[in-house]
Amino acid sequence: MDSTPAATCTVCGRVLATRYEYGSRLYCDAHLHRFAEDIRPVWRASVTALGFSILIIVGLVIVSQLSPDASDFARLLVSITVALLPAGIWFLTLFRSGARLPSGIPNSVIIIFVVSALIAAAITRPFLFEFVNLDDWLGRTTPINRFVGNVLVNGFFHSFMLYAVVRYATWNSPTFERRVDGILFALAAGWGYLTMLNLLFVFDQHALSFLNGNLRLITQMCAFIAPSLIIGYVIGRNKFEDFAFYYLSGGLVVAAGVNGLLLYASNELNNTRLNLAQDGFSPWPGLVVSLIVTILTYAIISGLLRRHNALTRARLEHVGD
Amino acid sequence: MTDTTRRWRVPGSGEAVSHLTRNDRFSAILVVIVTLTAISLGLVIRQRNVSQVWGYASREAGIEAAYPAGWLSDEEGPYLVRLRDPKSRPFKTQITITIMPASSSSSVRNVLDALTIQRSVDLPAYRVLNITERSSGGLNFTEMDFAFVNADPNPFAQILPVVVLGTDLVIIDGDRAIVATFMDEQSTYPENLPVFQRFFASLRY
Repeated sequence: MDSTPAATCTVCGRVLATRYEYGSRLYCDAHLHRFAEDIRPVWRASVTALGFSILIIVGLVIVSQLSPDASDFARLLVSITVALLPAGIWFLTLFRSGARLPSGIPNSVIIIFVVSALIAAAITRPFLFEFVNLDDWLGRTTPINRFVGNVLVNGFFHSFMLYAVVRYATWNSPTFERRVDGILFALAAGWGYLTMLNLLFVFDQHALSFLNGNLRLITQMCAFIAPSLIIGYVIGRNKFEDFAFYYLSGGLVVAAGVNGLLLYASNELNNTRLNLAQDGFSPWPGLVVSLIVTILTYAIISGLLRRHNALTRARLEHVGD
Repeated sequence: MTDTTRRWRVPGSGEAVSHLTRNDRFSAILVVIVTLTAISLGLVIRQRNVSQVWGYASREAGIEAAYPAGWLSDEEGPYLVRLRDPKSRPFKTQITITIMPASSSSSVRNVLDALTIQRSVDLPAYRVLNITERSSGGLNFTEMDFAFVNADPNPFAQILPVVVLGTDLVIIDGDRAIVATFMDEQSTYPENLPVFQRFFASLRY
């Protein structure tokens, strides 16, 4: 009796009658031709959320000019809206566009969002802000230490949390059947994580100023969305191809670097020169840099993934011929 | 499938299935190792930085001490130096060194009385809580604990007054008394008192 485990599909886990191999992974016929497919609603939702964020910025500028002396309650409501709206828009666009797809958008996206939000509240916040008291240290130390601290502690901790949610909750799930699903799940994790951190920040501060405070929420959004894209890309590729053992950790290092850099830049660049015309703080430099880095990351990741998918499809067609 | 590392059952298939390769297993471990290493390195840097101190020296008074890095020093008041934590709110945690004349006939009690009289005028609800003779490392000094209410004099400021606890440590050094004073908000006083104790231990005169 042969005790060798049966060959199974990487995605669905079914025993393979006919073995198809790609990137040292085995597939059934259906999933071999599916893993290189794209999910356009993921990109559409991301662009829409980013576009809405820019509209929110414009709205905040107008509101801050029209009613600079709003009540605390009004400011609290605006801050909660700013914290929730980008994620809401992303989900709304994703599910509305995804409804037209034959397979739809997996509901596990919502579970990933909720789990990430809970992790942010139950692990990240107590560890980084209460146990390590990182913000207190970063506020006192030198700019070089601030950068190092942001990358090594903030960057790696946040990136690992996002990675862990996607890697351990979805890797073995049959719903993870396309490369772009890695980005879908990582973005869902990123939105949940950053939305919770932003909400907790709003509740901590009671009421943020219309412009400076709320623009910080948008800046933080960029600092988590860009690394989510990177983490989703490396997990999405590694799931369907057997890469070298350092591939995932390399991706995590890049994601941590981007996260730390954006968190550092969002604070450091906003400390402008103090003089008669300026009060020493402006929310704009950090915000602009964060938006540019996020848009660049989006363009690079979407370009790379589409290119890999096109190459894979071409190879598979070539083999099929 | 010699590189099989994980097995589970798929409902309906009745067969064992396996996906993870050796690379997958190593990469999963490496990610954890890289993360732990990076965070640990960051925390070590933080720890070294937090315990970092800056030096204060007054050639005129012949006094040296080490105070927490990042605190602001100010020599523009009725004291030799005032060191304040710029991050603390609403009351700035502070350490001051004051030099007071002390003739051979005057006792520590005279110095403390002078401080009490002055503060009872300057500080609202000033109360002396405790006066104790202490000895540490061969050095004799007197400790006076006190409390007062810190209220913003601006009546339009929407800030609650805070209760501040303070400690004076008085050393008689020839014809002068060196008074090291620590003041902090009641809730954070116990937490920050070790900062003052380290400062006092570093005091050279």
